[in-house]
Amino acid sequence: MTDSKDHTTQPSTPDMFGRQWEEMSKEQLRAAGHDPDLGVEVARDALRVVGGQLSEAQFLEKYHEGYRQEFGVDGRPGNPARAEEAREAFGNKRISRRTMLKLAGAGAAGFILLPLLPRQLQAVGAGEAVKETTETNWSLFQYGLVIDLERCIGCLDCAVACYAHNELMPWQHWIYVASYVDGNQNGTNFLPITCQHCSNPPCVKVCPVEARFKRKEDGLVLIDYDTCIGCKYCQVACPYGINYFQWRDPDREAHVEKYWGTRNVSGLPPGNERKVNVTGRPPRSVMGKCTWCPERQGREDKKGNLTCELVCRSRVLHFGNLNDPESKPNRYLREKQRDKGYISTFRLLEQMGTGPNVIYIGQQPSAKAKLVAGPVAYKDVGLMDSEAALEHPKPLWFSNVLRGGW
Amino acid sequence: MYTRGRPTQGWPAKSPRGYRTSFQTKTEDLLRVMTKRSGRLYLLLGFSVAVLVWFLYAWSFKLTHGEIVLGLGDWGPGGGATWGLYIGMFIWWVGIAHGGILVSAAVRLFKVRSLAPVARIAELMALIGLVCAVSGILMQLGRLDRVFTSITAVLPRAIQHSPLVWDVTVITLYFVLTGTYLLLTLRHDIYVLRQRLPPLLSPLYRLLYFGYHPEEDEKVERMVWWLALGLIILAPLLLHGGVIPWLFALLPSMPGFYGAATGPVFLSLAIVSAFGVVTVVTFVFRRVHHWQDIFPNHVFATLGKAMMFAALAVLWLQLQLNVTGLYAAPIGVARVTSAKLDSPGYWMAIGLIAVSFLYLAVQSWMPRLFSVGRTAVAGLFVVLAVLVEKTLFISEGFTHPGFQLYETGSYSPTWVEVSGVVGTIFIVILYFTVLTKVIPVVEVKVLEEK
Repeated sequence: MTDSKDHTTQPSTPDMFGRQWEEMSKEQLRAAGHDPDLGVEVARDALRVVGGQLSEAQFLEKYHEGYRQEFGVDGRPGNPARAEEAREAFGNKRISRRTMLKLAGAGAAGFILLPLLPRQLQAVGAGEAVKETTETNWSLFQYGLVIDLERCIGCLDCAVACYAHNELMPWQHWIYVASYVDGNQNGTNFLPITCQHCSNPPCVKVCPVEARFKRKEDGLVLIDYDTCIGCKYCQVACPYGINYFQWRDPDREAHVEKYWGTRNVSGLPPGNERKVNVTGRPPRSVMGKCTWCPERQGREDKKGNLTCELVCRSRVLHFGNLNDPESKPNRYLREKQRDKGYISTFRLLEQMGTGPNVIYIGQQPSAKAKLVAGPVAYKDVGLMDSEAALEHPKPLWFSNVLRGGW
Repeated sequence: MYTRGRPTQGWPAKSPRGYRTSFQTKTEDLLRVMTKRSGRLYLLLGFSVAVLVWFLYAWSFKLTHGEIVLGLGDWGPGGGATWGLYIGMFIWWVGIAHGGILVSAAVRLFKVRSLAPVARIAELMALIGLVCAVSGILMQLGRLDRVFTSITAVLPRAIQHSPLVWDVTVITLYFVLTGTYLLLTLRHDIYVLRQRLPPLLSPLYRLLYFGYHPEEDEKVERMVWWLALGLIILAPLLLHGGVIPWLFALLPSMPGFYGAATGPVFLSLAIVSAFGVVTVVTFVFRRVHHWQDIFPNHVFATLGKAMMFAALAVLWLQLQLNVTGLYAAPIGVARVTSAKLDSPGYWMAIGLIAVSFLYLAVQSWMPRLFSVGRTAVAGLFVVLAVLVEKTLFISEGFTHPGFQLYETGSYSPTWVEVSGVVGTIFIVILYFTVLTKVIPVVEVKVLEEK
């Protein structure tokens, strides 16, 4: 157990397995007749390769001679000349039967251990962050949010700040804090839900006018308010229920600075990008949703955080580039892991294939989770927790009958 | 009389004895209705126009006040339904528009002669059905003012990924094909009857048969055959068995929508409502204009049989949906299925279709029970049932989303939405009332036949 705790503190540093492990490994290598120092060095650098600090080519080159001295052949999969080296070694009978067996053993161990290492890191380490770095191109920038459910107290400060900042209507919860009870969790739990700014957003796919788009430079999913025709298909396709249509003229004036996003609307070659209206609340009859504050991300002095994140007293929200291991969310994941020894993370409705970019720390609500009143009621902070109280015209008598109301 | 003007080859001079009388009587019937003006007609026209004014008022009310005047809401924490009656109505009308194509195809491809008298009515229905369907989409759009510029700006790219654009494209294609189809067969009739049609509209008629020559008939027949073939392939594969259900079937966010069965279910409902509407419209024509000769009983018997098989398909597919949705279904599917089975609206719809099916089945086995009136009532039942089923499909899909943390939502249509449905129905009534006075609503070639 102590070992596994050690693994997780600094996933991509050479000392992650600790001194105890090193001693043990050296002893085993010595017993097998190998050079123990080379073995430990190789193991350390293999981790650097996994962590991305060392390229595979560098790794191959660094130990090429060492491998040839030790085994007569550098049998690592990345070595293009390994077949030739092996033929040469066997042909010249430079390798004894015993060495041959050792070689086979080392190869097998490498085969088993190397693929295991990153998986081990994912399982117990700062899982999500490292997974991202091994699977995606580091040059890609994807904003993401780490939400620590273990710290959320349901105070609704984030919801109020978002409402005020974006000049929303009281029923538009661009960040909705769901309070729920669940069979397998104690007491009332909270789940703040924002737009997940998915890597494979279904809302972008279905938009008939390409008003919904995923910004290349930082991965934000935004709505071009001047193009949207209000068909609401994005709301239909989104599995998270985070879209809010502007059902009527907002009764307040908008102050959020407009036109903070750029995009190449007409698919012309680069250089034809134009400013688009994507910030704050949408105009009437247009879809809106959490934007992750592009008006902040567009300014050097403000970028890298969100309005809701800044007001959160409990440090629940951590916003930043998920593809950068040193970003705020990834650092938070690592620190939490180090302090607590283990963490459980999940992404919401990941099975839908949307590739959500919000990582929750804590327990996922089960299918039996039920919404309950939170410690702070929405109406106490000037918001509405559902649209039931909206002033629709009176429903017609038969509609209730058809729905089962009689 | 009709041999005046350019002499025609063979027809009708070479026709057998007795032919002329029958043809004349039926054509006289048709022409009598075309020129007749009565108080009842003006009353109907006035009433339809009044309803249409109301319809436009309701639409403008929505445009002025925003979508808040509809019963819709945001699904999720809001607990509303994103789409409702407008989209239910859209699917309903597109389904009805299939009537034209199915009946026409039956007549032109498979030579089902008993349906030949209703082929043109069905084609006319297809055209107006599509117009009503599109108006459903337009009414539910928030920013009508931007539709044209926004869509045309990205059309070549958006058509690669957006089901809504596929939908608009296929409907446009369908509309153009059906219109072409109608025009091709209409030219001949207008030309033959040109001396006896209302003189007031002669510029229109001259435009319609511009360049007509009787020798084109044979060529036109071949063109119409190919068009019918194209349409019959297009309808089930791309329209109601394809693009329209894909608007929903492709989205895993709503368990009520998602799944491969959505296509067959949509198609079965479309076909039954299509035959239902053609039956009802034909019945009204026969009743109002005393066209027993033009639409004899066997037309209704055939329509009834077609409706019966379509209704059976509907019931069977609903059984499949409900059994798989209840037995050991994932929670989301089970939730939406039980909600559906709890709503009286669903049982009303299924009940109407089941009753129609039973009656039509009994009638086709025991001809002495046959009745034109009852067949038309069965048609009306299934048409109503499909509208209710479609609207419930949409709204219950949204009120029972896949993300189960949210509570069950609710949806009740308001007067604005209901006015939209009633308005489109009166668009169809007005359309047929006016068209009966302008063009022959039955093919003259069919009237020739004994």
